[in-house]
Amino acid sequence: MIKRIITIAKKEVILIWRDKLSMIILIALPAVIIAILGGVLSFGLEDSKFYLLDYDNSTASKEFAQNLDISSEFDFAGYLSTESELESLLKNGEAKIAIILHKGFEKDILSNNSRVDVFVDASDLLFSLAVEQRIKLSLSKSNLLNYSYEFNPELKNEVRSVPGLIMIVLIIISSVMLSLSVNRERERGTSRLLILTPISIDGIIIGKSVPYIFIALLHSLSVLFVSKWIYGIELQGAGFNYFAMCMLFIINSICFGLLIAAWVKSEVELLIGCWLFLFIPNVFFSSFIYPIETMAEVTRSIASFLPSTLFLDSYKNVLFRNAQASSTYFNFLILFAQSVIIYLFAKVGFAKNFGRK
Amino acid sequence: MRIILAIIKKEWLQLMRNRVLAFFIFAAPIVILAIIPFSLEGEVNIKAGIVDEDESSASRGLIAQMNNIELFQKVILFNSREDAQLNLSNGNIEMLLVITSNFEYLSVREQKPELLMLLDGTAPYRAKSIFSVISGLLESNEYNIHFHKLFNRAQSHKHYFLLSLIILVILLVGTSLMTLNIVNEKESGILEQFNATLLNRYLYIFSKYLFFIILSLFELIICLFFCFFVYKLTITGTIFEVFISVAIFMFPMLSIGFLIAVLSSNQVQSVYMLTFILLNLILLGTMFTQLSSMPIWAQNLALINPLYYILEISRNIVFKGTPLLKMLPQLTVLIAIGFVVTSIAVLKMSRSHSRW
Repeated sequence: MIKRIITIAKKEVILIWRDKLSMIILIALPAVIIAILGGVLSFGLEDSKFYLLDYDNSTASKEFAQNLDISSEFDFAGYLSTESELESLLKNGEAKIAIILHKGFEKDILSNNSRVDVFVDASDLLFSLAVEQRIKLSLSKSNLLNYSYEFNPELKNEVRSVPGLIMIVLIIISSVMLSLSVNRERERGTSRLLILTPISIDGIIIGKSVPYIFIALLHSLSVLFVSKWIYGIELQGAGFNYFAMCMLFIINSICFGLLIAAWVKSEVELLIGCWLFLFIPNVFFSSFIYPIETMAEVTRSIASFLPSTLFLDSYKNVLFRNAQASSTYFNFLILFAQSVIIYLFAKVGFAKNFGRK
Repeated sequence: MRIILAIIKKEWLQLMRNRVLAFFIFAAPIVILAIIPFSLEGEVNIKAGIVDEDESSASRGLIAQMNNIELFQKVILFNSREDAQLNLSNGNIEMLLVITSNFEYLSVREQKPELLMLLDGTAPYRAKSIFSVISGLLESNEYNIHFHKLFNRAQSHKHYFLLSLIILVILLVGTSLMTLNIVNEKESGILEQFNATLLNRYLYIFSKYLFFIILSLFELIICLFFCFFVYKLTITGTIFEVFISVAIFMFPMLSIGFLIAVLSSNQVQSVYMLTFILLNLILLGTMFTQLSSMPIWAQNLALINPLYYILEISRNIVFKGTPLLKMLPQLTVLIAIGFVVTSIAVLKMSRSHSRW
């Protein structure tokens, strides 16, 4: 059995090796995505430009603008002269934030009553909420709270973006790429030849997935170096747990990919199916873009059982928070159980149509 | 004209005979739009932990005050700091407030009482939000700030997200169909049979573009109708402006798909390339990040990214009602990208197929 699996794996390696373009993409895709895009996806507000309409034109109002400009979140973009200018800037999307300081701003400051009008483009309500919070925060004076950010003292954005990106890479390599190769086998009719050999369907699938698992593991290891050397993130415990987590997640995505491959016929269907049913839910519905806590009660439980949420959660537990093993192993268990169930479903599909064109 | 209609008819029949594909194109987006945006509520829902080392009436008052606020999903009281920190590192709570032992003593004497706050920094953006919410509760502000939230009459979190999702679905479906359709024809030899017909390569490309643009608009109508009935997504501008801008946007995207199809020799290669390029376009667009928070090189790169333009244009039309004529520069760039990529692809194509 093992020997047969190795033979299939060898065949798959040769297949990947001979197609130079695909091989370059398999190797380069993760490097590009993680090393370059890690710094681009920041999600937050950095240097959001604000325009100022200053009717008071006093030292106090200048100080107000300076206070905001100093903070890393806001960037002073320029003075406006009329309210109609402000309106048209906001409407054309050239400005997202505009502030009006009224006459008598300096005078009222003594009575703690100086009125500030902030106009925010709220088509993205989350953005406008964040702007509201940050403006209040950067203008508040007293410092009652003695605070610190645990596990990520400098609040580096890469702590959030890199795990999400490696998740995307693993999903794409292990589901799209592998199921594509399985599907190819079927479309070309070579799967019929494979079925004639003594190896079982399980053996064929395991053998075919071995090279992809290796590539995916290689990338998940390289992420550690990228996080450490390029982004300078402090890593806590990257040992066996990290390896097991990546392995489980890769196997899980493989099973999901196979499930889609088992029920479609052509490459187009597979590609669209993988993007719509694997990429979109795993990216938009997990804690990568929006925190799970902010979701509606009903769907929160679905979202928290999504493979990507489990992966991101254990990634944080293992690498940044150095959590107790019990909380991480629970995630592992769910990932594993999901893989088994999904694989069984995929096998039902394959049993029907693996040998058929 | 007759030839173009014939090709469009052929594509339509080809598409509709494949049941699975028809499901993926028309029903799958609805499934996705029904589940994912539904979950977005935008509540704060903080999972907080408190350690009360003071155990005085002042500290109990503060805890009661926190329990009353709807911002918290749960507030857990811990006995010791170690216990609470363990929960923080297991991810059970996101923030920890420690009320130090001289809290009442200091607050009675009108000195500054000390509170220690630890936040889970592994979600940087959220940690900062939680911090500003909590400090807004505890501290006063010397200005009287009025916020005016424009362009969102429904005050809905979902609409912005819905629009991005619709654009993403249209882009994915249209581009993958276009690419794999052409590669498939190349691979199975149908393209060579076309050589023997009246069709020339410009007509061929033009009719493919036309068909897939019509298909994307069809998909757009389905998505918009669904969003209108389920999520009450209304368009401030006119719906025709949305159609025109999406049709123009599909031109560069389809031309990218066409270029990939010309460059790749089999379907596997084209899927790899398509995935690679789409992923970069999506992640470098402004779907997840504000343009101003990107590094400068990424901001410049966005200027040749069709997805960036369509997101800007469609947001302007749908939420603000900006007239389409104001966004003529963006539309021109989209068309220019389309022409450049198409001509590269046509040149490449004429080299590989001698007669075409």
